[in-house]
Amino acid sequence: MSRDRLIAGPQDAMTVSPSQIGHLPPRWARGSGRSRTGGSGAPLRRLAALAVAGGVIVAVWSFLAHLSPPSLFPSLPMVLRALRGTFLTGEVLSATLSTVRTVAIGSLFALFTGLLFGFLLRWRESTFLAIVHFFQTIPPVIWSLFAVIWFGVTLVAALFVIQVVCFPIIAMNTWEGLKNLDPEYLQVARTVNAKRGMVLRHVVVPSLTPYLLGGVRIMVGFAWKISVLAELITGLEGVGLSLYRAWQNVETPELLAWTLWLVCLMWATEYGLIRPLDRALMRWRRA
Amino acid sequence: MSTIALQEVSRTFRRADGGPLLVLDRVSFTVREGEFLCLLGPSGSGKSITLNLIAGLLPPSGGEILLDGRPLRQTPLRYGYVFQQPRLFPWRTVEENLRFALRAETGRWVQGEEDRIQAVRDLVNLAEYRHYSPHQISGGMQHRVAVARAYCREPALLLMDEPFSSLDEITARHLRAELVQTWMKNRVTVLFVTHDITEAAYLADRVLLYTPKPTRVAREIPVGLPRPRRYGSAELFEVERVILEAFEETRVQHRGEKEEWPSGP
Repeated sequence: MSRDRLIAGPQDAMTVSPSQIGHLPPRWARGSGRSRTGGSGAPLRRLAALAVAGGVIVAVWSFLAHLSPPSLFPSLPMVLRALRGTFLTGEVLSATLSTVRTVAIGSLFALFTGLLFGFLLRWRESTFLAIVHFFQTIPPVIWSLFAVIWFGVTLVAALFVIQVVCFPIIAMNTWEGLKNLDPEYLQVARTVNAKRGMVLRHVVVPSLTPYLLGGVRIMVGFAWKISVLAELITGLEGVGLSLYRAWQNVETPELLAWTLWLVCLMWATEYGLIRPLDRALMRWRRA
Repeated sequence: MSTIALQEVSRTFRRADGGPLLVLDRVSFTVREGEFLCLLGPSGSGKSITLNLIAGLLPPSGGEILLDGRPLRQTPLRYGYVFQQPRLFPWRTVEENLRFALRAETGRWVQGEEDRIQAVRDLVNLAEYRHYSPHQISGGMQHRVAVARAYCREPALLLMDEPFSSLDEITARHLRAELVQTWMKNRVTVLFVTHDITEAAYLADRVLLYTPKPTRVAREIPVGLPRPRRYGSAELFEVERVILEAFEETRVQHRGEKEEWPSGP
């Protein structure tokens, strides 16, 4: 079981099932394209499925809005109007850019540290697993509080929180990938007397790619949430701070508008970044 | 090219219960220069292990392997290894797989690289598939690439570990014929492991027969037929008969010694 699953931490529930990234180590079997794209069938049917999902959300929302006063649960048109308003002031753009920057830099750092720790885990499992577990068990909220104490209201504080929360995800995935390196390929490399750099470049890195993609997918999702949390707590400019302001001023439509916007951003990263990256890097797996 | 000599080579493994498991028991034989030698034996008799020992993938527990009279450890052997499965890197194209074999040692461009890749490509009829991924070509083609990969490094010795056993018989015959053709053009020393008597008779200059483990060399059978040989010809049948007879004799002789031998009905 554990061989076929990618450990993704920080909590147990956050694992990627093989079908999600379409990878079943250690053999690179020729899979069908279906499970990888995650979609089911023709584009028209997928659109219809999306429409149904959207319809359900809108229906439930309208029902709740109908039952409660706008200050508790504003209607969808009110939320969209609020979103338009924040767009017009330019606040959405500046807040989004700020958050995107935090997420991007934080993720890159976490990717780097995570890779390093993945290799360290493979090298000295018991030592480094204890270290990674230590970072994993402390909740992100607590890290955020400490970040403010240590770094104040700065970008560094937000980056620090993303770093400590996200690097274990990459570390665990890298470790898992290294454990599942196919000895048959390593043996081929030995029979041609390959030097270390060549083994790393032509065997290890390609073998790790699916694991890293799985890790990056989860990490970026986390980075968004952590970034918002960190902004909310540290008061650094970004979507999180705007959310907090709306909440403080009891502007429920704005609060919901920001939340909706955040969902859009996370979708955009999945479909605009992660999936194209997956498709480009994993082309060799396609039959 | 070079002569490989195994002198009283043994190899022990650890049993599941912790006790020693002797697989190769003081095995001695010589692979002569330019010779096509087939290693035939029952499954589990340590044929692959023998190849791994010569390739240096596994150290022997006892005895010595000599290359032109000198211990193998002192004089690195340039060999090509063809595994039972093609083991091509799925993330690289056919040509990139070949190029990896050439550049593996230095990590850089190698003198005459393009010529050598083209030569092996032509040798095993791969020309039009060079930019394909392994999963886009047939199993037989993948095996051709694996053979080409072993050949392109211009090895002194070719180690082949049942390379055609996972293919259907028609494709396997085709590839065997190609291998013989290739080998007649470029007579590298070959040590070919198989459990298929017909295959051994078709390919070999000489067949070495292994006993069941603890393995020793049971018999040595020279095959004097000219090449290319024909399946179904009377001469080939005769060679097969001789090998089969020796094989059965060995099996019967060693039945008594082996407590693990299944006692069938």
